[in-house]
Amino acid sequence: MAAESVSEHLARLFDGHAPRLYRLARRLSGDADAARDLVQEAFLRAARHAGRLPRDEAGGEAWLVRTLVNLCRDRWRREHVRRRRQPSLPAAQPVPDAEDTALARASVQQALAGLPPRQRAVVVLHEMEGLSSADIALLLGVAQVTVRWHLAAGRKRLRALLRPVTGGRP
Amino acid sequence: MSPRHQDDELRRRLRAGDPADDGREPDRAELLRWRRRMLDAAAERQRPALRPIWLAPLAAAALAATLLLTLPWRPAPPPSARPGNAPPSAPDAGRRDGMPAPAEMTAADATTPSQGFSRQATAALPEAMAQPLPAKTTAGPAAAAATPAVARRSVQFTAPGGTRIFWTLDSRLDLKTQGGAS
Repeated sequence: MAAESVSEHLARLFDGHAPRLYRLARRLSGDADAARDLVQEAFLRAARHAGRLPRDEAGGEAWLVRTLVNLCRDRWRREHVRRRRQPSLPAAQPVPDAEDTALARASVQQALAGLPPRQRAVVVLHEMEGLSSADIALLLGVAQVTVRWHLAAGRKRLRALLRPVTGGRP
Repeated sequence: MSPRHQDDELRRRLRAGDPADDGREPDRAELLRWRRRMLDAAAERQRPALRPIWLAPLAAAALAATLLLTLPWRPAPPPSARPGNAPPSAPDAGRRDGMPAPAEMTAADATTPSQGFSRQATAALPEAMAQPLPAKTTAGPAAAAATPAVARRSVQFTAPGGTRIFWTLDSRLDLKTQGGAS
């Protein structure tokens, strides 16, 4: 069987991971439009650096997730700098809505936005996507102890950020 | 509440308020557009790789020829006054090692193009300049002093790709009479 071409490899990665990457980007960025941009940019980078993509499925997925997390981090840094330069702009507030789910979603989104990018990625991958610390370590290219540290710190911070909505329950 | 229960409660709240469940996921048409853009970018990335290999040195050679033909230049001193006036050596593959300085180059060097792309570059030269120059006499400095001085100018430069280009110009060259490029 002939070796898979670059286009076939990219198409296979896209078909297998694009929807999931969007959901991850949506959780990391907190904005649907930003998530769309981030996912497209991640796959465009894969196309530009196709020679560096691992050929195996797990390696390709890890490359894409890592690229997406880095893009989210870069975006977060740019927005952080912009907020520092324009302190008069109000911070994003959850929009009051009759639906509890929409309010809960807005609260979670704002709480996640309060985490540093790497910590946010670890918490999302573990708590919302159900990955183990070992899997997260492989995906992000870090040590497991680093993942556990970020997870513990992220959980503690999220409990503090989400506490006012729960009425003070720890 | 125990730490484990705290973690479970946090997980429950996060999943209940999952931002990805807002119903704004891309539909199939949008995903296909993203897929097409990615594949087009990959194809575009692979396409122009072959072009610059020979084009860049050719462009550099053409630019150098234009500059040399337009810039004023003075004839080289008589052969007897030039240091290191060695008799012409046979063309050999060792020319690539320890390239001589332009002033010391002889006609034999000019007839031996450097390796690599120079065949294509030579093919693109004006017809008159592609003709080999006559070899210098091997009689030695005394005999060379008796012959009329030939004004020659040698230029060496490096193309963007790293290829070294040597040009030896003869003052007897007349593009108009030989039908060269105007």
